[in-house]
Amino acid sequence: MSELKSYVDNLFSRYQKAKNIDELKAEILSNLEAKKSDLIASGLDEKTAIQRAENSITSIDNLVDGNMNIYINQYRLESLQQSLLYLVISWIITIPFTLFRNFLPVNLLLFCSIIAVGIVYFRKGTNKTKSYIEKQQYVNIKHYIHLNRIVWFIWGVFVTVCVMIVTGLYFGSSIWFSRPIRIDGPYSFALMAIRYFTPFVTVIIPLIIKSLPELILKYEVGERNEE
Amino acid sequence: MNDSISSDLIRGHIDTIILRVLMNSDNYGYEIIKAISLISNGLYELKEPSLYTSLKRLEKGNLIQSYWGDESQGGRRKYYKITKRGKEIYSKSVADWKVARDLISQLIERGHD
Repeated sequence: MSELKSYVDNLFSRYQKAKNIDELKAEILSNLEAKKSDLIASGLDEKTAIQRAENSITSIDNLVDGNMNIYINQYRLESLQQSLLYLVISWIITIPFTLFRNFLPVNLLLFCSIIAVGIVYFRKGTNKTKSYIEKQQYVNIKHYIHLNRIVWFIWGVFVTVCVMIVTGLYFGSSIWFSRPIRIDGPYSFALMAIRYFTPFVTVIIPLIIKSLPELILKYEVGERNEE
Repeated sequence: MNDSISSDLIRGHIDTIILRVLMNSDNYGYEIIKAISLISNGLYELKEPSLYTSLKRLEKGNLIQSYWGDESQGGRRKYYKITKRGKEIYSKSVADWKVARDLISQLIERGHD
C-alpha cells in the first residue's frame, strides 16, 4: 500500500497542495490499488503487480487542471520580445524626462532594461538547435491568470497611492506649509505633469504579465498525448 | 492483445466506449478499464492516461458526473455516473458510428460496387 502511495506522491511532487490536486491523487492511487489487488488475485506476485501498476501511469502533468504542454523556449522567446517592445515604447515616451534631472533615472533605468532584456533575447533567439526550439514543458495557465489579477490589483493600488501623494503635495500644500504651491510657467507645469505620469510607466509590468496566458495558448503543443 | 493495430482506430471513440460502460452502471476508473477489457474479450485494453484524459473531458462536457465512494479500505474511489446529456450524446454517437461504419466499409473494402 505505502509503496504505491509514495509512487503517486512522487508523481505529484511538483504540485502544491490543492483540492483538485488531492482529489486527482486520491483517484489515481485508489485505481492503482485496485489494479494491484486485481493483478495479485489473478496470480501475480506482489512485487510484479506493483511494478505493473506503476508502469501504467508515469506522468500526470496532462491531467492537472489548467496545465498545458507548450513549446517552452518559443514561448519564452516571444514573451521576451513582448517585454522588449513594451520597454522600448516606454523608454521612448519617457525621453522628455531627460530634461528633468530628478526623473532622468527613470529613462536610464528603462534603457538599461532594454539592453539587459535585449541581450537575453538575442542569446535565446540565436539558439536554433531543434531540441531547443522543440523542447516541451507543462505550464499552468490558471496560475498566470491568477497572477495577472493580483498584479493588476497591486498596480492599481500603487498608482492610486502615487497620484494621491502627488496631489497631496501640490494641492494640499496650503495645509502642510500654509502657503499654496506655485506653478509659474511651463517648466513647473511640465514637472507636475511628469510627477503625475511617472507611476503610470509601471503599467508595462501588468501588461507583460497579461500577455503571458495568450502566449501560452499560442504555443500549446497541438496533439494531446493520448494512447 | 494487439494495441498497435487497434489504438489508432479506436482513439476517437474512447469517450463513447466509456459512456457505454457507464450506461450499464456507475463505475470507477480501474473497473471501467476492466469492463472495457472484458467487453472486448481481452482484445482491447484502455490505458490509464487515456482513461483519465477522457473522464476529465467527459466531466467537463457535463456528460458524466463524479462522486466519492465510501470504501473503508484501499482508499476512496471516485465513481462516475452518466448524465442525461451523456445518455443523449451516447445515443447520437452510436447512430453516427453506424452511418460511418457502413460508409467506411463501402469506401475501403473492395467488392461493394
